[in-house]
Amino acid sequence: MRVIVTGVDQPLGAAAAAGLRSASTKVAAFNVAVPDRSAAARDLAAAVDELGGLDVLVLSGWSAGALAPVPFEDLDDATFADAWEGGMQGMLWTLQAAIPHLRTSGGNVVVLMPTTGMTGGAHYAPAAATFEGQRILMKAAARQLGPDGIRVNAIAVGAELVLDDADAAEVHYLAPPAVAGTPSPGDIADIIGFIVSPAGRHLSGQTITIDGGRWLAP
Amino acid sequence: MARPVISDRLSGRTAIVTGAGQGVGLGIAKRLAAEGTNVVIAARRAETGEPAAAEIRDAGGEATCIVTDVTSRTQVQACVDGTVARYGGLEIMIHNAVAGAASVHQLETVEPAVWETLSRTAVWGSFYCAQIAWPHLRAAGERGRLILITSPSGVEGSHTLPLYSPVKAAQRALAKSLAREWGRYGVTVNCIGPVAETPALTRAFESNPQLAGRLAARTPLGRIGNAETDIGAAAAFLAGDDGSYITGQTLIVDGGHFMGF
Repeated sequence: MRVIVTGVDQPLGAAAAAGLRSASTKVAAFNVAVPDRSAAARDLAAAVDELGGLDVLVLSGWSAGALAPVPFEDLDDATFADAWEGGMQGMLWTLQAAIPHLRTSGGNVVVLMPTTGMTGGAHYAPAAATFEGQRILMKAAARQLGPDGIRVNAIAVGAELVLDDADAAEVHYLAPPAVAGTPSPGDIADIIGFIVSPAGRHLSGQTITIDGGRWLAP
Repeated sequence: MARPVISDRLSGRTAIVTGAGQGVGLGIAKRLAAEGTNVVIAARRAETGEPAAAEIRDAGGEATCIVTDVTSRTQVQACVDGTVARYGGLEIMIHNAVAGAASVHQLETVEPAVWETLSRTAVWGSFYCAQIAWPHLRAAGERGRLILITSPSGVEGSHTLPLYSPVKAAQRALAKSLAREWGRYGVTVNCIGPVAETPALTRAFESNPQLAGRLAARTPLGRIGNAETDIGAAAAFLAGDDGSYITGQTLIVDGGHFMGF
C-alpha cells in the first residue's frame, strides 16, 4: 500500500505516519506549511513519484498556532489566517492534486482531526472553525468523488490529544469517556487500515470518532 | 417616530444585518424592523442597500443603509461605529452575507478565486462581524445576540458546491465556540440554516435545473420558504427575549428538508 501522510509536524500526522509504516506499507510524509496551491501540488507530486503511485492520502494538517488558546477578542488577522487559511487551503490543494492519482488506484482519503470542530471550544474558535471546515469538506469530497471510486472519511480524536490546554479541552465534553485510555499511533493506523480495506467498501463521508466514547452526537 | 407593525417585542434594540440588500438578509431586516428594531442594512452596494432601507422606512420601520464590504475589517468597524453613533448601541449582529454561493464547481479543477470569495465573505466576515460587535454585545448583556446565517450543506456536505460546505461548517463551529466563550455575559450565539425564495436561490436553480424539483419533492412542507415571514420570524425569535436560553445551536428553517440533527 502506498500512503501519503501530510502534517507530520503535528501529533496526529506523526502518529499516523509512524503507525502506518510497515513491510507492506510505504509511507511518504510531508508538511503543508504554506497555503499555496502550486506548492501543495508540487509536494504531492514529489511524494507520489517517490511511492510510484498513491493508494491512501492521509490529510492531517493545521498550524501549531491554531492550537493555542486565545480569547476571541484578542485574535488577530495573522493568527486567524494561519489557522483557517493554512488548514483549509493546505487540505484543499493537496486533495485536489491527489484526485487523478486516487482515481487511478481507486484510492482512499482519510482526514484526521480532533473533535474540537464538533464540540466548539471557548478560546479555540479558529481551531474549531478549521477542524469543522475540514470535516465537512471531507463529506463534500466523499459525495463528489464517490462516482470515481474514491472514498473519503475522517477520524476524529479526543481534543486532549491535540490542544495545548487539556483542561480547557475537558470542559467541552458532556461526559467522561466510556472506555479508558488514549489511542496510540498503532491504534490510529488500525482504524485507517480498516477504513481503506475491503471491509470498509461501503464507508464514505463518515467520521469515526476514537475519543473513548465521549462525544456521542448525533 | 417609527411605529412597529407586527409587535414591539424588539423595540429599543438595534441590529446590523449584513447582505440585507436582498434575499434572506432583507427578509430578516424587514421582520426585525416590523417588531421594533432599529435596523442597519449593511449591504455591499448602495444600489440594493438604500432601497432596502427606504422600503423599511416606508412601511413604518426604522432603517439606515451603511455600505459595508464584510471582507474588510475597516469597513465592518466603520459600520459598527456608525450604527452605535446613530442609535446609541448594538444588541443584535446578524451576518448573512455570502458571495459565490451559487456557482457549481468541481474539486478537481476549482480555482483559488472560488475559495477566496467564499472564505472571505462567509468566514472572515463572521470573524470581523463577531469581534467588532463584541464590545457592544457584551455591554448589551442578556440582550446581546450574534446570529450567523449558515446552511444544511455545512452539516452534510454539498455535492455540487463542495467549497461552500466547509465555510458554512466553519460558521457553525465559530458559533459553538463563541457561545461557550460569551455565555457568561448572557450573550447568545446561534446559526440559522434557511431555505427561502431569494435571488441567490433563483440563480442556484438556473445553474442546477434539477434542484427546484428535487427540493420541492424532498421538502415535507412542500414549499420554498419566505425570507421575511419564515426566516425573518425565526431570526426575530432568536433575537428577542424569547430566545435568551438558546445558544450554540443551528436552527434549520427549511420546511423539514434537512433532519440531520
